[in-house]
Amino acid sequence: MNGEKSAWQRFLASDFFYDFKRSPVTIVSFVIVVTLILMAILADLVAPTNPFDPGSLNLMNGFTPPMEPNAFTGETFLLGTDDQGRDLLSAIIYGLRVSLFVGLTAVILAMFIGVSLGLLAGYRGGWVDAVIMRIADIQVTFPSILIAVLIFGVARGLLPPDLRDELAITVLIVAIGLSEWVPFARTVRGTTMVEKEKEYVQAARLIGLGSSQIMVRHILPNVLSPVLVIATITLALAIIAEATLSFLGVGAPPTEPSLGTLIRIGQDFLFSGEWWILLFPAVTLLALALSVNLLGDWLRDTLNPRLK
Amino acid sequence: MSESILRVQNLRVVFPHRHGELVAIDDVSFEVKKGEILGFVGESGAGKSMTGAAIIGLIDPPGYVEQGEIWLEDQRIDQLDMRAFTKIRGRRISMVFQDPLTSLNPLRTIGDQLIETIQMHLPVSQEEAKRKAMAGLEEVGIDPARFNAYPHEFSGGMRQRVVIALALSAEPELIIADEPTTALDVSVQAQVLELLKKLCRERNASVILITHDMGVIAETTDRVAVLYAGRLAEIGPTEKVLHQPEHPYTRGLIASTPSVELGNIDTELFQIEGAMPRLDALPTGCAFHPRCEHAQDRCVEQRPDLLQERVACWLYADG
Amino acid sequence: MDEFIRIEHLNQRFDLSEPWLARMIYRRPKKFLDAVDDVSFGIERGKTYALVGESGSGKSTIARMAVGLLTPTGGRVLIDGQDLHDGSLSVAEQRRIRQRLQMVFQSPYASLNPRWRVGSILAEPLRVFRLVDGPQAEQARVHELLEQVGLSASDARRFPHEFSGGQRQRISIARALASKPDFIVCDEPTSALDVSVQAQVLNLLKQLQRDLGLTYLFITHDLAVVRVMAHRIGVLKSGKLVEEQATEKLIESPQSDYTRMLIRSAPRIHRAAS
Repeated sequence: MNGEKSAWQRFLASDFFYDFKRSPVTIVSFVIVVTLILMAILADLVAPTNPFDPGSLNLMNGFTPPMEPNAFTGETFLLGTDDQGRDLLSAIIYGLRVSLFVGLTAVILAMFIGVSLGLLAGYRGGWVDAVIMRIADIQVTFPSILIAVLIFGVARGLLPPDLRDELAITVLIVAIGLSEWVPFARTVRGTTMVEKEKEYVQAARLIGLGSSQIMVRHILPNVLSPVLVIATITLALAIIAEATLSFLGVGAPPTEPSLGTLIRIGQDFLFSGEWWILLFPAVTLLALALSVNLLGDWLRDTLNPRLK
Repeated sequence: MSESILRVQNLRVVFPHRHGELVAIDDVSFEVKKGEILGFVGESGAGKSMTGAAIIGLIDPPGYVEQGEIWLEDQRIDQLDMRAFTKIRGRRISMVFQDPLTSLNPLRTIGDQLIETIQMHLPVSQEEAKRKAMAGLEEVGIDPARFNAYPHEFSGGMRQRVVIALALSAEPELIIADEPTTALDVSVQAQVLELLKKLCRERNASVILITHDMGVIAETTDRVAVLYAGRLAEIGPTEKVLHQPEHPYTRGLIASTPSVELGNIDTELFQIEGAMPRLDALPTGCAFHPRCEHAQDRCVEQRPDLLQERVACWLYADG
Repeated sequence: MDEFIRIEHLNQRFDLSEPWLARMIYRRPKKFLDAVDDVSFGIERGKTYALVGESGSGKSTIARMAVGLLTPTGGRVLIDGQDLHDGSLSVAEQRRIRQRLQMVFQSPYASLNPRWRVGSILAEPLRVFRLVDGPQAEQARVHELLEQVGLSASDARRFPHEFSGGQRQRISIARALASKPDFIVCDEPTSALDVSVQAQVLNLLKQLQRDLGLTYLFITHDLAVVRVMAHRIGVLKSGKLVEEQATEKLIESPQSDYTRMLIRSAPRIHRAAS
C-alpha cells in the first residue's frame, strides 16, 4: 500500500503497540522491568561498590541507616548498609542479577521441557499423550516449591561437598525449571491438538514431511503466543520461587546472595531496629515480581482475540 | 399498496476504530410491507447481517447506529432503551439465526423453552401455553411427543424447525431470518425454506430473509435488496430484479451463479474481477467502480444514490 | 480408457466404541461406522470426476484416502496401476507417487500457515521434492507459480492474512501446483467463497486443467457447480455410491430417487416454467 516499511515502523503502527500506549499500568511495569534488568546487567557500572570485594568493605560502616552519615566514618549510603558494612544498594543490584539470571534460565528450561512435551503429547496423541499428561497431573498435585526443595535436596545429596556451593545456582535453576514446566505443556498440547487438524498441516503431510518437521516448522510457530504469556507469568513465579528457596536457606549461597538471600539476612535485624536491611530487598523483589506479572496479564489480554 | 410494517430511513451504522471510523452501513432505506418476504442478498462484508442486527437493536459494541430512523409501524424503535426493546424483541420482531444452537438452551427441553417464550410475551395460562407450544411443534412438522426432548437429540434441520417454532410462538409481526439454512444440506434447506414461507403466509407475518444465495432469494422472496459494501445497490420485486437486473453488480452476481439447469464442462462462468473492498479501504464514489466494466469518470468521483427507488448506478441517471 | 486413478472397493471403518473400561462395565459391544462402504470408480486422465453428497456422505474421507492422507481399512487406490497404500513400496517410490498427487482444501483460512510468508509456503514443496537448484531458481519458480494463478510476483513477500479469501484459495492452488502433480483433489474449494469469487476460482481450475492436462477429483455438495466443472459425477449417500454417470446424463435423467431429490432441491434463480 504505502511502500516498504521497516520492521520498526511496522511495529510502531501495530495494534500491539497501540494497546501498549493506551495502558499506563503496562507502561510503568515495562519501565520498571527494563530498568531493573538493565541495572542487573550493568551491575558492575551502576553499583556504587562491589559488595563481593572484601577489600572495599569497612566493618565500621556496619548498620548505617539510609541517607544518614555513618557515625564513625561519615560516609553516607542511599539505602544504608548491612551488618558487615556492605552498601545495600550495591547488594540489591548484584542480588537482582542473581535472581533474574536464575529466574530467566529456569523459565527457559521449563519452557523448553514444557513446549517439547506438549507438542509431542498433542501431536502424537494416544499413549504418548496419556503418559506425558499423567506425569503432569501427578506433578501439579504437589506444590511446585516442594518439588523444587525435593530436587534441590536430592541433587545436593548426590553432589560431592566441594562442588555444592559452586553448583548451587545450577541446581537451583534445574529445580525451579523442572517444577514449572506443566502449564507450558498443557497449553501447548491443547493448541497443538487444534492446529494439527488444520488444513495447512494436512498440506504439509501431503508432501511427505515427517512428524518432527511438521511439529517444529509448522505447528510450533503457531502455538508460541500463549507460551510467551505463560513464560512471563512463570518468570514472576520463578523469581519468587528462587527467593523462597534462598530465604529457606536452600538456594543461592551467601557468597552469591540473591534477593531472597538478602531478605533472609535482613530478617535477622528486623526486630533490632535495622528495618532497611529487610525492607529494600523485599520492595525490589515485590516491584520486580508485580511488574512482570502485570506485563504478563496485559500480554495475555492483548494476544487473546476473544477478549477484544 | 399495502401498509408497511417496518420502515428504515437513511440507516448508518459505524464502528469507531483507531484510525477513525468504519462505516458498516451507509444511508440504507427500505420498507417491509405486511405479509411480505423481503430478501437481503450480498456477499460477505456487504452489511446484510448488520442491517438485521440494527433493526433488532443487537449491534455488537463498539458499533452503533449513528444516523437514521427505524419505525415499526408508528413506533420509532431505534432510540428505545434496553427494557423497552425487550418488549418488542421476541414479541413483535423475532430472529432466526444460521446456527440453531445459538438460539436454543442446551440444558432445557424444547417444550420448556417454547412455554417460557410464549408466557413471556403472551398473557396465557400454563395449560394454554403448553397447548400452543404443542400446536407450534406440530406446525413445523415435529412430533409433539418429542416435547420433552433436548436440543441435542435433534438433527440440524429439525433443530432449525424448533427455532422457527420458537420464533413464531409469540406471534410476531416480523421475523428476521439471518442465513437460516446456510448450515443445512440442500435437501433440508428446501424443506425449511418452504416451511418458513408457508407459516408466514398463514399468519400474515413479514420476513426479512438474509442470505448470500441468489437461488434462495429467487425461490423464497417477494422483493429483494442487493447490498454492496454497506450500501443498497438495487432493490425491487424479486421477479424483476432477477430477470432484468439493472445494477452491474446484480447482473454479475446472477451471471456468476452456476445453475443446475444450464451449462456444461466447456462453459466459462461469468466472473466479476476483484473482491469486495474492505471497510477500511472503501473506494471513492461508487464502491463498485473498480470492479465495474461500465465505470465512467463520474463513478469514481461521485457516489450514486438510489434512483427511482430502484438502483444506485450512474448508468441510469438522466434518462 | 486411459485411467489415471482407479478406486477399488474402498472402505473406511471408524471405531466409535466407548473406552475399553466403559465397555467392560456396561457390557456394550464395540461400535463401528462405515464412513465409506465399498466404493469403486475410476478417473480418466485429464478429466474431472465429481463426488457429490451431503454432509456425512463420506466424500471428504474418500478424498483423503485418494491422496494418501488416510489409509483405507479395505480396498485399494491405484495410481497408474500402482497401489498407493502398498506398504512394500520403497521410500523413493512412495515419494515419486506422492509428488504426483496434490490437494486444494476447503478453508481459505486454515489451509495456509499464518506464520509463513507466501513465498516460503510455495517454496516448501519445491525443496522437499528437490525440484529446483539454488535460491534463484526457487524464487523464479515461486514467481512463476504466483503468476500462473493470477497473483503477482511481489505477493511472495506477504503473509496470508493480507489476502482476501479468493486470493488465498489461489495461493492454495499455486502450492498444489508447485510439485508439478498430475492429479489434484479439490475438496469443496469454493464453498467458503462468495459467488463472484467462486466463479474466478472455478474458471482458474478449469483453465489450469486445459493448460497442464490435470486430472481432478472434485468434492462438493453443490450440483450446480459440478455441472460446469465435471465430466463425470458420482453421487454418494451414507458412504455408498448411489449412482454414477456422465454429467449431463446424470442431471438430465437421474436414475435414483436420491439424485432426483438432490437435483430438485437445488435452489435456482431461473426455474424452467413448469
